[in-house]
Amino acid sequence: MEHIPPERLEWLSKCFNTNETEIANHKKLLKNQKNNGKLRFFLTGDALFSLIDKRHRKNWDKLIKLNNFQCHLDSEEIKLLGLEIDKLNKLYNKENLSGSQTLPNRILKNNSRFWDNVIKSVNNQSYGDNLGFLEFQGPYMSRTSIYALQLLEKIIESKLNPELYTYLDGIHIGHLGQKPSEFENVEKKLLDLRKKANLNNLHFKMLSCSRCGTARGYIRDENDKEYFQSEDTLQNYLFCNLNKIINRFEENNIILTPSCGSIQYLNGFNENVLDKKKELNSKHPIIIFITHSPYGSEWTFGGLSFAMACANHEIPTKVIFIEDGTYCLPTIHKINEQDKIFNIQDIILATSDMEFLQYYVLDDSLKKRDFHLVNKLNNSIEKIDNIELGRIILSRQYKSITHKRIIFY
Amino acid sequence: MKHIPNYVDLTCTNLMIKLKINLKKLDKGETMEFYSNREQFDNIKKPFSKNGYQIVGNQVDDNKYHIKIIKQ
Repeated sequence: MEHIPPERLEWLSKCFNTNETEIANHKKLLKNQKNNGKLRFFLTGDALFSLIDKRHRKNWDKLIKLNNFQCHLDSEEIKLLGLEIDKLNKLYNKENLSGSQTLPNRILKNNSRFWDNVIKSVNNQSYGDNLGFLEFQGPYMSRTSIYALQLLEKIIESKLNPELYTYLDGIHIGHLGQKPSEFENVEKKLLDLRKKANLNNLHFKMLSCSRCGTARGYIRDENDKEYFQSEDTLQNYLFCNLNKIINRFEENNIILTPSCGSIQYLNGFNENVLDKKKELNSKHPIIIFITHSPYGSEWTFGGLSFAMACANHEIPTKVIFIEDGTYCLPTIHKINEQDKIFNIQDIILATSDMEFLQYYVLDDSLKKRDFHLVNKLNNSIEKIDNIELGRIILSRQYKSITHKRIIFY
Repeated sequence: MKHIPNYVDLTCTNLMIKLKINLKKLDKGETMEFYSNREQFDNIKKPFSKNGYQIVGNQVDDNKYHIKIIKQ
């Protein structure tokens, strides 16, 4: 949904591109992908600009060369942005494409049933009766809330229970009394969706982070309830401890975010596995990419808090500092108690011994910025290259794991 | 008289971060004390019962606990 930085497409193409896989293990992983799966991109909103921006072209070309590559484009947004699918396909329909991929429409699909296909694609193994969306941004300033509503509507039409979780500024989308002059009224649409869910005998769960709600004035009195109804939000839009939201991540269901990935594995539980107990108890892993500077916004603290909460729930959690997220790492941060801010580096140091939490940094992102990992973090963060990053993204620890979640903060 | 910090207003995740940071600074055998609420106590009990710590909580009010974490 969101803007794709050129750097992101670069490391993605390096991770997935067979031409650059000189290491046998990575080839093996890609081979498995080739045999079993597809590499699908679903682009809407600002992410679509990456297709016309020349800075991205080389890396899209590399990705398109991959076997089983598919890219689905939201036809409504294509129209809004004035993009033309034929012209886009011509850009990428060069002699460097092989075999069946040379037909223009097979490369980039102009998709009028975009959200249906997103659901069909991510939920193709029936991961449960629910499908969730975790929103980080408020309405109107960001259009991601509109896409979230479109997805939630399709979830209801697919007869799945919609679940909306809001975190950071995302909590504002349930505020009462919204009256935008031009844009779709997000509050009203949420009410309509709740009604539609009820008519279909579905339950529309809306959970918001209470830390974020308290910080933003939604919870003004002392509260010891597990679920709190703020007088500032619509009914049944409930605030709760982040742990209650993380409980949903312990389940098998798919949960999407504005910029996210879902690695899905075919085949189920392997009965021959030696440590069956451990395999049965294993939860779906999560990868959290930290892509923002440490203190200029709440993204990094929000991402690390979320990661820590996941790890506390024994969800295998890998945090990867990448792109501008590497701003967190080259200098020693000095913060006093009166600064009223957590030292991001202290958080990393203090939590790197947690059993279910590992920290990594993409070496390429450091090198591009002429950064060196500050000494005190050397034992807490592992530097990785693109091959290793590809392995972390694709690898499957247990056969009972049917999918892995990826969230960009 | 020893000042015992009151962390009841911290969220569970923020409390966990604060504790992890402060406990790193303690030597073995040293104790950290603070006040928490019930939800916070429930949340930190499990992670600090292992990994080289001992945690003790005594209820001092309706929703207030005096917590001691000993680094072992």
